[in-house]
This record gives sequence, C-alpha cells and structure tokens, in this order.
Amino acid sequence: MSGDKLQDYSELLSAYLDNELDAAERTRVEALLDREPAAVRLLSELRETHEMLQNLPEVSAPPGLLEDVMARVERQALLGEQNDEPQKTPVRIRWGPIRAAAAVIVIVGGAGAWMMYQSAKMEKRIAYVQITPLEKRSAPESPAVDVPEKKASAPRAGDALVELRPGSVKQELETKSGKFGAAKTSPPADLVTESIEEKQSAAKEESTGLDRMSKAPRKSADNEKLQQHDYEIASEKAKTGQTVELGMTGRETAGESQTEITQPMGEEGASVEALVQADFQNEPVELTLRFSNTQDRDDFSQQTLTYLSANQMLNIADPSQREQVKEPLNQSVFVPGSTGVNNVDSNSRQFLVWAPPEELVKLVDYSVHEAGQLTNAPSVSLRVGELRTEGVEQTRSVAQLLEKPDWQQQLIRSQQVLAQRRTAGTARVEGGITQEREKSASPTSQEQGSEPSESYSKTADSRGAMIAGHYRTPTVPLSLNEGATVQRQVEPFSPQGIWGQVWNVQQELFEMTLSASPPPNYLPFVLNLRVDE
Amino acid sequence: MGPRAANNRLNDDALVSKTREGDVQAFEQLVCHYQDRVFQVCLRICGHYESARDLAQETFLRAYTHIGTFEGKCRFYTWLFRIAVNLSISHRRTSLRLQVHSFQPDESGNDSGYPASMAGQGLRLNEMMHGNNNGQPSDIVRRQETRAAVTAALGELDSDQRTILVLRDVEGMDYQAIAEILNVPVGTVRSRLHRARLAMRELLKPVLEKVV
Repeated sequence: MSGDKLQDYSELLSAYLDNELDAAERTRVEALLDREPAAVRLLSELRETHEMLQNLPEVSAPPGLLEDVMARVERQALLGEQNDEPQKTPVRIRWGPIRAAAAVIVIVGGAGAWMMYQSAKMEKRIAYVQITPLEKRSAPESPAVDVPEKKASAPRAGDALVELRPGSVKQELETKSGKFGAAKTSPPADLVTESIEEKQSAAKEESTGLDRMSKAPRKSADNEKLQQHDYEIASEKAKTGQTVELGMTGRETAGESQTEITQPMGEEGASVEALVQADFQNEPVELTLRFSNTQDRDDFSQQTLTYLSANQMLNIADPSQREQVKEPLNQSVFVPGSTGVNNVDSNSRQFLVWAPPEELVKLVDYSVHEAGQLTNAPSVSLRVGELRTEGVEQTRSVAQLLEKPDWQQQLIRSQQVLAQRRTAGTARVEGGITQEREKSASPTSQEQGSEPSESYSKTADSRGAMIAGHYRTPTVPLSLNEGATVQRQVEPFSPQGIWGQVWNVQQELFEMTLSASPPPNYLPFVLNLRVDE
Repeated sequence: MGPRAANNRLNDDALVSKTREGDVQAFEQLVCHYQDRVFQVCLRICGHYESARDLAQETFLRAYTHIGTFEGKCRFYTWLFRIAVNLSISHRRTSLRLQVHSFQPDESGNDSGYPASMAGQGLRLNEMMHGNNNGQPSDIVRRQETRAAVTAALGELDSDQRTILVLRDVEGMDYQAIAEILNVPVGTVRSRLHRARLAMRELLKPVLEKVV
C-alpha cells in the first residue's frame, strides 16, 4: 500500500477506533486491516496513544469549588445581576508578575501599593503569607529553643509580606525594606484611626495564641473597611515579625450578615504556587505543616518519603537501583527527625533534606500542593533563610547539627572521609532496624539462681528506623549513612527505656550521618510536620 | 441517547427551568453534578491547576448569568462545556503570551512528572503507595514518567488539537457532542481529531517505544 493510500485511510482508522464509522466505512476499514500490516500498525499506535490519554487519572474538582461558585451565584442573585454582561475571566497573576508588581510598588512606594490594594475586589477569602528573607547564615547560630514570639516586637529588616488572594483577580505584594526593596505602605489615616481597636483586639488574640482574625462579627457592611481590617492585621503581623499562617481567613458577606472564615490551606492550596516559586533558591528553607490529626500527618510523611525516593533525593543504596539513576546520585541527606522517641513533643516529625536548590524548590512545591489535596488540609508556613526550631526536644537531630559551630566544615570533612572509604571499598550499606530479643542467661543471675534476663540487641540507623520500622517499605532501598552501623546493648530496665536507648543509638548514627555531607551549594531544607490536635 | 443520558437530560432541563425561575438550589445541583468534569476539561486544556479552578468557577458563573439565553436546542452540558472550552482556550492563549505556563517541563528537560502530580495529572504519591503498582520504585517512576510525558505532550499541541483530544480521549465524548461544543461539523471533528492523534503519537514516540 502506498503512503498516500494509508494517509487516505488513516482518518478512517482513527474513527474506527472510536467506533464512529457507518457500516460501509467499517467494512472498508476491516478489509484494509486484513490485508495491510501498515494499517494494523498505525491502528495499534493510535490505540496506544488513545489509551495513554484515557489512562490519565480523573481529576476531581478542588474542594470548595461548589461553595465558591454558589457564593458568587447567590451574591448575583441577591443583587439581581442575572443576565448581566459577562465578567472578565479571572487570570491569576503568578509570581513573575507579582515580582514585577513588587518592583512597581518599590518605585512608587506605599501609596501605590495601597491604591493597588484598594482597587482589588474583595473575595471572601484572603490568604496571607509571610516570607521572611534573612541573611544567609554565614555562621550558624545556636538553634536552641527558639519559641516564636507571641508578643509584638520591632520589625525585622528583610521581612516581606506576600498577600495572596485566591480566587481574586489581583494579588499584591507589600514590601518593606529587604529582599524586594524598600517600600512602606500605609492605609489612609482616617481608616487607621478607625481600626485601632480592631488591631488591638487582633493583637490580643494573637497574644493568646489565636493566629486568626477576630471572630466577632462586624455589623458594618462596608467592604473597604473590611478589606482594610484584614490588611491591617496582616500588616501588623508582618511588622512584628510574626509568621502569618498560610491559611485562609476572611469573611463571607451575605446581605447584612457576615461570617468569619478561618480554614486551613486546602482548596486554595494550588494558589500557593506563587509562594513556592519564590526566590529562595539560595537560602535555607523551613516549611512547617500543621495537621489536624496524626493520620494525615503520617500519610503525608509517607508520601513525602516516597517523593524523596522517587526523585532521588535520597541516596539509593541498592546497586541494582543505582543503575537506573541517570545522573550522579544526589548527595542529599535525609534525616528523619523525632518520631515520638524519647521526645517531649511527639506530635512533631521533622525531615532534613539537603538538596540542590532546584530540587528544593520542587520539594516545597510538592509539599504545599500535596498538603492541599488532603481533606483536612494543614496550615502551612514557610520560612526562608533561617532554620529555626521550636524546641530542641522536638528537633533534636537538626538541632544537634546546627548547634555545631562549624557544621558546614564538619560536613565537608566527613564527606571527604566518606569518599576515602568508598575509594577503599570499605563503605558498607546498612539499613533498617532489627530487634533481636534474646533470652540470654546471665552468669551472675544464674549463679544467684535468678531467672535469665532478657537483653535486646538493636541495630538501628536514623533512617532505617524510619523506613523499615515505621513505614514498612523495605523495597525502597535508601541509604543515609553508608557504612554507619552502631550496635549497642539495650538494657530493658534502663531508666531511659528501650526506645530512649534506641534514640541514643540514633544520635550516634546521626553523628555518622555527617559523613553524607552535601556537595557545595546544596541547601538544607527542613520539613516540619506537626499535629495540632 | 441511552436511558441514563435521557434521564440526565430531563433532570438537567428541569433544573435549568428552575434556575431560570430563580431557584438557586437547582443551579447548585447542576454545579454539583458537573463540577468535576468541567474542572477536568479546564485543567487539561489550560494545563494549570489553579487557573483551571478559576476557569471552572467562571464557567458556572457565566452559565448562571446567561442561562436565560440557553434555548435548549442542545443539551445543557454541551452548552456548559462550550463555555468552559472557550474560556480555557482563551485563557491558554493569554497564558502563553504571558509565558507563565508553569506546568510544562522545564528547559532542562525535566520530565519527572512532578508538576503534573501537583495538578492531579501525574501519579499521586498516595497512589504510588497504595495503588496497584506492586510497590516497585521502578514501576512507580516509569508510570509517573509516562503520565508526565502524556501531560507534557498535550501541552505541546495547539489549542484546537489539545481540546479535541481532551474532549474525546479524556472525557470520552462522542463526535456529535464534540461537534456541538466546538460548533464545527462532525467531519471536522473527525479530521481534527485524527491530526491531533498523529501529532500526539509523534510526541509520544519515545514513550511508546519504551513501553514496547
């Protein structure tokens, strides 16, 4: 069959695949298929293409879409706007344009920013994100307990407030001195005066730990004032250096009644795209997710682990797996933090990852968006430029790393050591936690005629415990600290308890973990997964 | 039209009538019924999760606003999808002009599928862990790559080809419905769809070869 002929028929083949031919055409195509292998081949390829598309997973509408649509529909219904002219399609402005807007704001100053703010149409939800660019750590500070301040303090240089307004046409950026340049915004004086009480009220709530806006419904239906109120609270938080949660807060107005809305990030999660594309490529990043329940936290933790593995952000120890790695292995270090082991705050889980900046951005992006997919999506906050812990107990591994005055140098040194060991062929790969429960007869006790005591032999490493012990994913071979194995006898009746002792073993292993130091320019990323029940 | 489709149409017609009379709850039922499909179409055409959310929302809002102009000559969902498709194509063109299309593989050729997974297009990690994947990392990665490649290939097509593939191969609509949505003859649907598939086949050749 000539190429032309096949071309003539190929359109029929496509329709044949879709069962969209009449009887005569169908007969012709089937006859063609009987005698032309090229037609059979083309049909097969078309079918494969069709199936690949067909196999794309079905996507559900984002949570809250229905509610958002109906809120707008009801508003229209109330205002009698049915059959009005079509509205302009909302186009979400992304980070690039936001930054461009930021540049404009920097130029024109606060007045311009305020005018932009005022010009935006208020949506029922509003999200605030504070990105706090700080100086890159030249010398590590002590990470000892650094509980976020609840009381107001002086503004910190470099604070920047990014305000995202999901579903709205505009997003603005307010900047103060710092990364995005210098600009100061201020609302009109009369409105400032008017809202002092509200600000105080908000500050009071913050001081009691309620990181949200006042719950008291307001009688005023003046949207501008409401916008201003939101704006001022966010500004106030920025000024006092507080991290403003990336949660949805705002209020819904229906006629005269107004309902306060506070909800964790979720349905608007994807709108955080702007955030995660932020320019933190040269700074450490700490992302904290606060879940409403342990199950979600654990599920997410598991997903993250898989993501790290799938994206080769963990060293892959199994040689057979290594062959599948196209690029040289990333030297990222993965340190699962406290897992409820000898831990004051067992609601926390922490990952430390070293990664190239671009991978780090992806990880943040991934984390935020995956979190947004959860039914009870967590609130999210992001810190840039500083690794901060809320308590040594909950973040021991990371804290221990950072409290070393020369942690970077240590990492480099131990990297060299590891390289030597690899060269010498002495590096071994160990993973997993094993627990051997042995009944060993103690000579002493036997002599005394006592029952044999039980002793425990544990082999653990700080990653293996996570993988094999907790997550039961032994098919994912990972290596954090190649060659690092510590065996210690664990005393069953130690005041520390068994797991306390295992934790100590993990700490030893963590020291060895330093041997898996990152290449130059790799950045630390800390992912805190907390449960706020 | 099968009995179920006919039943749906009757339901839709009744709900549309009620909506015209000011029954907001009736419209809510329509939104509830079609939100997933409308969102998916928007997402596949515009390629961006958050934009798709906006577009889906705008689709329903426009449908509500202009429901008085819906004459019932075609099915409600056809009319609804026409709005969604037009908005999505228009948005996609705007986005491309603005160069903010963020779900494409980056210049370094990254095809990890990660952006797609964000948009729900790739293999969700949850699925990796619990789905029918035998838990093998290599399978997971391969499947993720395939889906990412398909998503990326879709993004390479022009709007017309992309739209028709989404309506037919992703949404599973028949030619007649597609013709109504795109307001073109059925013959055009057939030829356009075929061209789109050939283009897609070319783009996916590396993946197809790998699968074979």
